[in-house]
Parts: sequence; C-alpha cells; structure tokens
Amino acid sequence: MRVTEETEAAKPSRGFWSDAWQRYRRRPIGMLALCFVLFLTSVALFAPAIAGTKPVVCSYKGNLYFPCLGYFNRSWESPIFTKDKFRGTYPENLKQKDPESWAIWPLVFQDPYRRVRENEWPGRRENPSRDEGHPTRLNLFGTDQYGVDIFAKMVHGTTIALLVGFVSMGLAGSIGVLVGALGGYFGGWVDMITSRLTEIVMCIPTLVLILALIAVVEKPTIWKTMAIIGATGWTGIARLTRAEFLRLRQTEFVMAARATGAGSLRIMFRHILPNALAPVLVPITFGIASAILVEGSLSFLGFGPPPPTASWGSVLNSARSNLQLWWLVVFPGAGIFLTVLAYNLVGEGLQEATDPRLREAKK
Amino acid sequence: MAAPLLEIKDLVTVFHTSKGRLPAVDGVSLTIERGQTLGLVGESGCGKSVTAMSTLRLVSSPGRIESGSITFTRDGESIDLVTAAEKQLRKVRGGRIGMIFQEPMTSLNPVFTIGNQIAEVVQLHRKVSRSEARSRALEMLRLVRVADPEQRLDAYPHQLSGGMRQRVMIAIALACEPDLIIADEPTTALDVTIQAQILELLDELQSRLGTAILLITHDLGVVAETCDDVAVMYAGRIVEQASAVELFSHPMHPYTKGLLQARPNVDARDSGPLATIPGMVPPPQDFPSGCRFHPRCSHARKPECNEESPSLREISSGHFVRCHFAEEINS
Amino acid sequence: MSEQNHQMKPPLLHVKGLETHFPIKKGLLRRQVGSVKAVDGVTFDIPRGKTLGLVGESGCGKTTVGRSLLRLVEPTGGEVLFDKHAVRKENTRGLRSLRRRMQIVFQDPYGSLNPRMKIRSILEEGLILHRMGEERSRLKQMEQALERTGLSPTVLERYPHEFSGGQRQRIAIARALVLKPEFLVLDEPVSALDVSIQAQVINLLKELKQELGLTYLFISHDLSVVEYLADNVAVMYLGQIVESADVGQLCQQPLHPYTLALFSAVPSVEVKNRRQRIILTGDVPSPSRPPAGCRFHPRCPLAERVCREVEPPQVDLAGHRFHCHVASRELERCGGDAAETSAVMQAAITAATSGSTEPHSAV
Repeated sequence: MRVTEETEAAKPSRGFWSDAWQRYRRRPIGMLALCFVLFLTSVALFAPAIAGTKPVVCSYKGNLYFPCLGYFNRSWESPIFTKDKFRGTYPENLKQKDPESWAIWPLVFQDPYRRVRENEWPGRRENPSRDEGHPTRLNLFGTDQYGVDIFAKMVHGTTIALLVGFVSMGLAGSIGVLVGALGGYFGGWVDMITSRLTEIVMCIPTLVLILALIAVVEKPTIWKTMAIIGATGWTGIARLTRAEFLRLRQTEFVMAARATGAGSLRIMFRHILPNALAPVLVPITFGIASAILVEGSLSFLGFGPPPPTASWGSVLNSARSNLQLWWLVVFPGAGIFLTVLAYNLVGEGLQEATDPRLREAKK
Repeated sequence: MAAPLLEIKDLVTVFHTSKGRLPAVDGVSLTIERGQTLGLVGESGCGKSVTAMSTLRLVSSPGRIESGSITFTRDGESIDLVTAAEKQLRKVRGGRIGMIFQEPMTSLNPVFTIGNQIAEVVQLHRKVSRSEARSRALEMLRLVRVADPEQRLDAYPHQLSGGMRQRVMIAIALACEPDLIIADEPTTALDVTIQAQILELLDELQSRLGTAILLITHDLGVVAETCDDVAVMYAGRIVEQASAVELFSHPMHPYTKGLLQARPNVDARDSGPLATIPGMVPPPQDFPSGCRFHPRCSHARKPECNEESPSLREISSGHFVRCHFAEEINS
Repeated sequence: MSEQNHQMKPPLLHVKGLETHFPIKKGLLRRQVGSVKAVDGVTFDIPRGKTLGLVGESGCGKTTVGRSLLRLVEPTGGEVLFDKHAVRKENTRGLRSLRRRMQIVFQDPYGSLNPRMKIRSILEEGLILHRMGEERSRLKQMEQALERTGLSPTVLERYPHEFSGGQRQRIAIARALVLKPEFLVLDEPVSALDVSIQAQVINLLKELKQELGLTYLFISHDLSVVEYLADNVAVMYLGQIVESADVGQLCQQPLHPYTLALFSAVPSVEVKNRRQRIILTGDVPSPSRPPAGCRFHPRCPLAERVCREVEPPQVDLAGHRFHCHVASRELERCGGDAAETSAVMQAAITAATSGSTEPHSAV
C-alpha cells in the first residue's frame, strides 16, 4: 500500500517572484516609490507630447505627420518641414502653408532647447528671461537666463536621467554578473584572475576617469559618459555575484543537477543564476540611483552633455552663475533628489521582499 | 507534601501571524520534581520547544503566553514565571534554571573565549570577583570533563569540536548550580558516540548535583535511556504521559504506539514494511477539530473523535492518555 | 553460497582503493600545504540488486564516497567499476550516460530541490538532457515516477517550498527514478525527517528496490535504519572502512572496537536491545592529519603499542572483513570463531572502560 499525499489543489502555485511581489505590494512607501519611477518612465517616453513646440500629430497637405518625434531623433521629423522652411515654428507655418491643416499640440507649448518667441503661439508674448523668469502660469517652473522654459527642459531631461541609470547599470550589471559568475563558479585560477581584475577596476576613480575622457575625446556625448559609468561601476555587483555563486555551487540542488548530467553552462545560468538574481538586483537598483547622481554632478560641473541636450544637471549648472534665480536650483534639485530617493526606496523594498533573512526577522 | 520544583498548568502560547492566531502550545500541564528527569517528546512542530521557551518566558514576538501558570518553587518560596517581574525572571534564567540548546555553535558567542562566557554567567548571578568567577569557570570545565581545561578556558568556540562545545554549554548551564536544566535537543546535532558521552555526562552530573532536567527531544531512544517520566506531545497538546518504563512497555495512545512501531530495526527487517502513521504533522493553522490526531488515527471513529476534544485521563495509575477509546484500544 | 554467486556474477559496482583527497591551499600563491584525506583507500563491492549500508559518524568520509562514485567530487586515486565501465576514465560524454544509470538522493530535502524551479522542470531536466522521449512521453514518464513515489501528478506545477520535508524527499527520489537508473546512492535520505515520515520513506525505498530491482548504496549515521534496509554493512572511520560484513553478521558479531562502541551508543527503546554502553573518549581527529598506525587508536580502549605504529591489515573471515590488530589476534586464539571473538572483544572493552559501564535503565 502506498501513502498518497494529496496537496490541496485549490490555490494556484506562486513562484518566487510573484511571492516577492506580494510582499513588496504590502509596503506603501515602496509602492509609492515604484509608482514614482513608473511615472518618470512614462514622462520620459511621452516627453515630446508633454512639452514641446512641435505638434504630436498633424495633417499637412493631405498627409499625417508626427513632428514631435524629432525631439528623440532629428531624422524622425519628416524632411518635408525642412523643405518647406518651417524653421521649427509650426503654428504659424502650418496655417500659412496649408489652411486645411490641423494639429494636436503637446500639453505645454514650450521648447526645451530655445526661447519661445512672441506670437509664436497666437496671442502669447515672448518668454521672459533673467530676473523676470520666475514661475508663472505659462512657464510652470520658470525660465533660465536665456528665456528657455525650465519645465520643458526638466521633462525632456527625464529621458537622459533614466537612460543614464538604465544603460550604465545594464552594462555594469552584465559585466558584473558575468565576471562574478565565472569567478564564483569555476574558482581556481579563473577566480584569481577575475578577482584581481575586480580589485584593479575598483581602484579607478570613476569621476576622474570621465573628466579625463572628456578632456581627451573630441566629442564627449552622453553615451560615452554612460559607458564609462557602466564600465567602472560593475565591481560591487561582480563581488556579490561571486559570493552568491560560491555559496550556491555548494548546494545540493546544484550537485543534483550535475548528477542528472547537466553541464557547466546550464548549471550556471539555469540553476544558479535565478537564485543569485535577487541579491544582485538590489545593488543594481541602488546603482541606478548613484549613476543619476554622477550624471547630475558632471553636468553641474559643466562636463555634462553638450548644450543642445537637456539634462537636469545642466539646468543646475546654469543656476551656478545666477544663484538668485531660485527656480533654477529648486526644480532640478528636487527632481534629482526625488528620483534618487525613489530608486533607493525601490531597492530597499526589493531587498526586503526577496531576502529570506529579512523576511524571517519580520515573522 | 512539598510543592514540586516546577509546575506548568494549562499553558497556552500563541503566535499571532498573518495566518491568524496559531496556538503552538495549547493547554500543556507538566510537573517536574526535584532531581527528576522529564522527557518531552514529539516531532518537529509539535510545540515542545515553544513549551521550553515559554517556561523561561523567552518566546519572542509574535509569540505570547496567553494563559496558564508556571510555578517555580525553591526553599518553600513560589513564583509564577508567567507573571513575575522581568527583574525577578532574570535571576531565575541562568541562575536557578539553566538552558542547553540544540546547536552549540550558534548558542555560544564567537567573539568571547569560553572562559569569559562561563564567568559572565557566574558574575551575573553571584557577587564574586573576576578571578573567583574565572576559577569557577575552570572548575566547571573540569566538571564537564573537558580535556586540558586550563588551556580551553582561553579558547574561542570555533576552536572546539561540536561535542566539546556542548560540554561548554552544559558548563554554562550548571555554573550557578541551578535546580533545573532545560535541555532542548542537546544531542541532536552530535554523532552517536559523542551523544553517548554527553548523555552519560548529564546523567552523572544529575546524580551528583541533584539537578532536575527537562529533556526535550524527538529521539525516543534517548528518552528511554535517560528519563524518569515522559510526556508525548502532538499538535500543541500532551497526548500521553507516564513513567518511562510504563510508557515504553505499555504505550496507550495510538500516536505513541505509531511512533514506536515506526522505528526501524534489524528485527523488523523481514516482517514486511514498517508500520507508518499516514499523512503528516499538521501545522498550527490546520489543527483539526476534536482529537487533533484523528485524521491520522486508524482507530478514529465518527462522530466522537472529530467533534469532541478528548481530555487527558488517567487510565492506569500515573498513566495519562488523551484518547476517547484508550481502554478499548488497549484491552 | 553467497561467495559462489559472487564468483559467478561480477558485482554491479566494484570499488577498489578509492581515494579522495582535498588539497588545503594557503597564501597568495595558493600553494598546497597539505590535504584532507576525506576518503583514503576504500574498497567494496555491491552485487546487483543488493544494498550496501555505509555507516559512520560525521566527517568520516561516507558522503564523499557516495559523491566520488558519481564523480560529483573528483576522486584522486583508486578504481571504480560500474557494470564494467571504469567510471574514473570516462570522458564527459561517457560520464553523462553513466550518470543516468547512477543516481543520487541527498540528505537535505530543503536544499536538494532548486527553489526557483517548478517540480516539472526539476524532473524534466534529466529527461531532456538524456533525450528520453518527446514532450508527451516525458510527461508520462514523470507521472509514472511520481506515482511510484506516492505523489499525484498535480505536484508538477508546484514549487518545492509548497511541500513538507517528506514530500520533498519523495520528489527527490522521483527525480532520480525518472531516469530509470540501476544504481542509487542514498545519502542520508531520511535523516532530516521526523520519525513517522521517516518510516514512510524507508518503506518506499524498500518497495522500489524490490519492484525495480535497484541497487543501493545507503549512506547513514543511523544504525537502526541501516540495519533495517541494508544487505551488507560497511563501517567507516576517518576515511577508511574498518569493518564490513553482511548485516546479520555485523550486528550479531561485531569485531572491531569502533563498531562495538558505535552499536552500543545507539539509544534504544527496547530494554532487551540495550547493550553495555561503551563510552569512547575524545573526538574524531581531523582527516588532514590522521593518526599513524590504526586510525582509531587514540580513542580505542584496547589500543596497544602495535596499534600506534602499524596499520592493521585486512582480515577476511568468509566475507566478514575488518582491520584490527587486537581482534585478529583474538580471532586466532578463538580458532576463527567470530561469535566467540566478538564476545571476547566486548568483554575486553567493557573491562577497559569500566566506571561508566552500567547500562542505562529507565527506572
């Protein structure tokens, strides 16, 4: 006779991540932070539709166009507008060159790169500049000394802020996980090489390296900055991954997988990595926050992306010589502060939701 | 008649968690006389450790002693450990009642020498100088027969083997000559030959010092060889209690019987499969109604067993069983 | 009779002089300064369909023996013949196909199942790796294996953490069975389980062996379980087998002082089974510096000068093998009568350890 142990089949099985999500959801602060991050992401995605001087959609000479995409990439703005000499001012030109045309405009008619001129939007006066540029109904966050709208700059700068975080940490994460996994799994001389490499890279001061690069490279772009932040920021992740791999490769389930006939690659990526991922994700989240800070500091020091790019740091930079224009400090400062805070809170929530030790302590 | 050393009455310890109110210990009563060894046996999750922790009020949040009394009597003076002030309780812990845990590695502090750790307990409970405490520590190490006690005094826990560490734990527990030692699975983490050493030591110390022992274990063999009385716990309740001789020769509760029959040995080898208890120990959130053992019991009858909770009845002299049909099953 | 059988059919597993040493490395250059001789010259045979119980205390190397057989740790010496295949000489590919036929079940049912994988993936992995059938046939094989271990197919879509210890151990056994192995290493499969659950799993193992004609290496520190399940028993101490015989012989007439002490130390419920308890002094020495001569001599109550100096040779008494100077001398004196020798040894040890010889009665 066999004892058959039936398990109650009523409630569905929850895996580790859905379980972690259930725990994460119970933390109001973490959820608030997560919502803020999601909000920023959507702001970054829809920036041209929120603030801009180019129509989101317009019908011109019988065709539909999306000129606002030009904010992401110059070439995505249809060449017809260059050919017809719009020169970036749409409301007037559209009506003049095609009376039949219509357009859907961004929520806020302001441009992140230039001052909005008088009557560019019918009946609206020119953006104020210098001391007069304090926040008004038309310029929500005020304008800088050249009359460029800060709100538009902030909205478009969100893209940069998030991109810096994701790209650099994506790079750092991939390098770190790979290096750590190799060292931790194979041990021996592989571990020796990867560990020493990690230690060497750890000694490189990121900020100084970036400054040196900017001095040497002819055209410092935001992408190169991201690459450097990523290429130097993986050491912590590598060490953590290595420790996790060292621990996990001793476990019996890994032994069992080997006994089943699984090879090294399969064990590393199918058996160990999913178990090591949670503790590695946490520093990546914190890393995103610190990458945003690094970019902010760089731009503030004036080593940020060159002028046409709108970034929060560069707004701060413009405040450096005009400290009495408080709105140039408060809004980008608050933006950076809140974003960094939100990422850190998300990271902390993630840690609490996934770390079994913290979970037990709560019990 | 003098009051017993420790009398636990209707102890209820509950854990308030997201799964609701979990009664880990649900109405346990135990009596330990001076110099006696009481074995508390059960499988994991039956509440035996929680009972031990409750005795010293060491249950940590979200656990809480909900009701019951724990009367500790010494020199004709009784205190109720459930209601006693924290200050009074601290004197009892480590002083009058010593404790030995399962895992000797984690219950010793890795950054202090073992001499320091023994001396600390002595100094906490007695007004003695440092050097006196140290010499007491040395004396204790000799007592528990640690080899080279002078050198070991300055050793750190990680420098000792598992058996040695458990000896140190016993030395700490005994340092203040307690009246009672609560030993929670003291030999589970040890090998059989080392376990034999430790049990031997406990036995010898007990007969020399007259200390009472509450021995908590899942190993029926250990209980049979060391205890005077035995209480069997299942799902937060005591299901059977008797003297060790009586319990092992005439087990009456179906659970106790099942446990004894489930033990493999060479004699059972050719007589077909081992007797098993179907199913598994229920977690506190799923304690069944009525008799908590009824879903796994081959003698269970409806409606008595699943509706009415049986009481702990004295079936024969000194032999208590919590079963509606104890007489019938055993006749 | 059994000797004859032994001669006619080669054993399924033949192990000769197996050695597994782990290097101890120190310093910056990771120079080897010594080695832990976890397994140091172990020899045994397991005939097809039989169970060898390997008994010993923690640190004696019994787990390493089991893992070395499957090359989950690399042995450093000796010979392992599995069904005429030299396991140590197989390349990756040959090893993989052997590993299908030799499976292992680990002690810790909580550590041996990957917490991030559903039971389906855990069971299916081996089938995929060994190309055992298409998806539908794989499902069928998995269901069969689960049914054999007393589980319902509904467990496939669940995660390990949803099961109790006993159920997990059944799943671990199912994982091994699904590959239809001939030989199973059972590494303390019931030690982590409660008594009532332990009996269920022991019954299951016994039943599977009979139904499928499996061959077991049953590793355990629990003598009562080994006595119940094994046909032959080998007792290990500090990396070597000190005594081996068929189970009845070993239980009735143990000859080696360590075996005697080990048996006497097992606490028993039945008064009649209680032996004179032999209390050994001291702890097991470190396997990195095993004592010279007989490895048991520092703890042996009967140790003589020769024991400290000369490693005892193996004595083979019709399949009852042991390594002990004193026992072999006594055996000679008793004219080769094992029963009498065992009694003499018992008496000698009891006399030598007197002072703590009273058997513990429950009164």
